Amino acid sequence: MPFRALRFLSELRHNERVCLVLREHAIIPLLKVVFWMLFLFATASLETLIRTYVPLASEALPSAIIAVIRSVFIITAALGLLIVWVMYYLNVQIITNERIVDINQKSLLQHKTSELNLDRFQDVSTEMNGPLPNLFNYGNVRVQTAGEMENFIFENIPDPHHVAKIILELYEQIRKERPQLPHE
Amino acid sequence: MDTIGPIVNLIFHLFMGFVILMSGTALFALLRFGQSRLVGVLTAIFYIALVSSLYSQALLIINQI
Repeated sequence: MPFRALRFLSELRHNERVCLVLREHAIIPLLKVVFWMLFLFATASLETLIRTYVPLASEALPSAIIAVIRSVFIITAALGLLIVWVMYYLNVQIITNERIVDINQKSLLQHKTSELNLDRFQDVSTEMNGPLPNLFNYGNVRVQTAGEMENFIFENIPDPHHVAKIILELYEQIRKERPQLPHE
Repeated sequence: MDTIGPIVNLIFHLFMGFVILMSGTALFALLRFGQSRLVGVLTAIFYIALVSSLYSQALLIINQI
């Protein structure tokens, strides 16, 4: 895992090691996949209904047009699934013993990388709202930073309480190593 | 009736132009920013093969119109 994480980080610092690599919980892209599967099912059902109950649909020209429209719908679903996969794969957070890196793919061409040194960490909170997050144990982790840096929010990550605990433990470790850091 | 085939052909190819643009953007992002080049290349190969087969099927049907 650390070897692959280096693909995201320009380099690891001296004595730095990767502790966690996070993506959003698999249920999130899975729900989107289910949506596209339902879309395809609806397409197939609609075509069957039209061919069964519309006599005109059995003629050559309307039948050919229906088949072309079916292909259009299937290609649209393939494109939708590709985008779901790309957006899931490209959004990742990396937690090392020294910093937190948030790689945020906001859209296909909007890519943002933010970095927070753990010695600038102030507070971490978690939230799990709704039945699905509680059932599948996923939620948001909010990392509050010192000064004017924007806060980090990791959305829909698995086991957010455990992640928050790890961040706190890493911060405590840094405080022990660097006692000159200002206390809370 | 003779004009329906070319119109369907045009609309379909306009749609495919949009699909190619969006797919190209997605695959570019995957290859440019992705963790693993291999995953990006395999995804691209699989996706292009799938869409190409769907496109050629649709083209065969359109040629019959």
